[in-house]
Amino acid sequence: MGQTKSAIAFDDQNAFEWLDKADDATLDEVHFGVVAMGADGNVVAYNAIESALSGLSPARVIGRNFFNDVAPCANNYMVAQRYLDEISLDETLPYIFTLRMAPRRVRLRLLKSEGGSRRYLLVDTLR
Amino acid sequence: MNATRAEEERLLELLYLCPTAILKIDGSGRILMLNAAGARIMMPAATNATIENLYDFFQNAAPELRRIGQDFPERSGRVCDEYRVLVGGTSDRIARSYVFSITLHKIDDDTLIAVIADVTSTVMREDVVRANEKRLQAVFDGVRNYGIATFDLNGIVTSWNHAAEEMDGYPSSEVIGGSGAILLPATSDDASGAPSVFERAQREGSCVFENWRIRKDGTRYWANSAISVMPDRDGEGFLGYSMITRNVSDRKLSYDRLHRLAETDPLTGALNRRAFFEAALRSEEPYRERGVPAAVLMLDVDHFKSVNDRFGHDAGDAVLRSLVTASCKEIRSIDSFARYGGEEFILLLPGSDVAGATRVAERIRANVAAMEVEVVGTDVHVTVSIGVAALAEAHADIASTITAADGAMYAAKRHGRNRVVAAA
Repeated sequence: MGQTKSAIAFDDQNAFEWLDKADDATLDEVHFGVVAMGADGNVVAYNAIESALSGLSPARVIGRNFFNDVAPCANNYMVAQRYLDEISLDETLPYIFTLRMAPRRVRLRLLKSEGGSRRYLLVDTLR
Repeated sequence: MNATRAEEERLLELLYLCPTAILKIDGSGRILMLNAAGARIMMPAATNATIENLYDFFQNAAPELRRIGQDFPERSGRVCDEYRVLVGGTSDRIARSYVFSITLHKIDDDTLIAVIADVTSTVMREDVVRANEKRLQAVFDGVRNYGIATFDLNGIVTSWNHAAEEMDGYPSSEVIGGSGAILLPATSDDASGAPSVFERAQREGSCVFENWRIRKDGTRYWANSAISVMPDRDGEGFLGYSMITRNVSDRKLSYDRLHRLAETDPLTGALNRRAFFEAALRSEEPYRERGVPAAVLMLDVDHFKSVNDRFGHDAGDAVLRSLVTASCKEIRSIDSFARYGGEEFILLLPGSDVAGATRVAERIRANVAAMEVEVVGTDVHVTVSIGVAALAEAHADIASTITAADGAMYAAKRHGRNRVVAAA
C-alpha cells in the first residue's frame, strides 16, 4: 500500500464543501475518522478509519443517534451540546476518545453549517 | 472468525453505551482502559483536555485517593466504595464543580477497576433538601411568640413547636397525636353547617381566624391564627394543614374597649341605638328562614320627669343606671339591652317568643320596683311600664315589632303603669 496521500487534509479550509460532495467510497480514502450526521443527529456515514478505531462496523452504526447511542464519550457540553447550541460551527479541539476501550488523545473537528443537511465530526488520533 | 468479530463488536457496544464510567488502571493510576461514559463525565472536569492517570486526575481534588489505592493492604478487594470527591471545573467554557462518586476494586498489585459516577445533580438536590430542612427547622424551633402546629387531614395534630408549648402550656407530647379541635373555634352552635376553618382553608387556600385559646393552667388568651393547606408533592391533593398562631390579647383588649365605646351609651352603660339595631336586624334572617322567634321589650320609666323635677338630673341619671343594672340581671349574653332614648329602653331577646319574653319582662319590672336608689340622703323608688312583642305574621320585621312593643308599652301606661303588656 505505501503512504498514500489523504484525499483531504484534516485542517482543510473547504472540508465542509468537500465532505458534502463525497460518497461513502471517497470518505473511506480519508486518513482520519469521519462521522456524518443528519440534522437529527443520526449517523448517515461512518468511514473506514472511524470504524477501525471504534471497532464498530458502519452497518451497526448508521441510523443511530451518534452521541446518544454510538459514542456517548462526547455526549456532553464540550462536543454534543455545541451542535445543538450553534447554528454554524467549525472548531477543532483536543479530546479523549474511548476507542476500543482505550483512552486515545484525539483532535476533534466539529463542522456544521447553516442550512447544511449534514454535519460532521472529524476524529484525528494523536501519538 | 467473523463470529468472533461480531461478538467483539457487541461487547464494545455494551461498554460504549454503559452509562457508568468503568476504568481499568495500573498500580500507578495510569488508565489502561476507559469506557465512553468515562470520557463523557471526566473530560469536562479535566485539565489539559487529557485523562491519562486516575490519581493525577484527582490530584487537586482528592490527593488522598492515590494513597488509598496504593496503600490498600490486601492483595485484592474493595478499596473504597462510592467515595465522594468534589472537583472544581477548569474548563474555559463553564466554571463549575462536579461531584464524582468513586468505587475502586483491586484485582492485583498492578490492576484496579474503577467505577465512577457523576453525582453532581444528586448531591445538589440532596444539599438543597438538607438546606431547606435546616432552614425550616430553625424557623420552626427558633421563632418566639409564633406557635406553629400542623394537622393531618383528619385534624390530628402532627407537630407542635417550642413557641406553641410556651404559649399554650402544653408540651408537644400531650398535643401531638390528639385532636386539634380544642385549638380551633367552635364551628357553630346552631348546627347550621357553617364551614370549619379546615373547610375554609381547603376552599380558599388559607383562612385567618381569632378565638380564645385555653392554656393548660386554665387561663386564656385571644389568638390570631392563620391556617394554610399543605399541598402534596404534585400539588394536586393535600397532606394536611399548618397553623401559625399569635397571642393578640393586647390588641383584643384595646379593640374591645374601642368597640364598647362605639356601641355603648355613655351615661348608663347600656348599648346605644346603633348597636341595638345591628343586633336586631341580625335576628330577622333566622326568623324568615327557620322561624326562629325573637322578642322585643320596650321599657319606659314611669313618671321619670317628676324624679328629675324633685331630685335633680343627677338623681335621674342614677335611676337610669340602676335600672340598667337591675334589668341586666335578667338577660343572657346573646340579648341586647339598649337605651332607646331619654328614659326609654329596649331589649332584644333572640329565640324568645311572647310568652318567654313576658316572663323576662315581669322579672325586670319586679327588680326595678324593688330598687332603692340612694340620692342625696333619700331613697328614690321608680317603676317601669313594659310592652312586649315578638316577630310574628302580623309584624314580621323588626321595625314593625318595635312599633308593636311600643304600642303595648303605651297600653301598659294607660292601664295604670308598673305593669307588662304583650302586643296582640
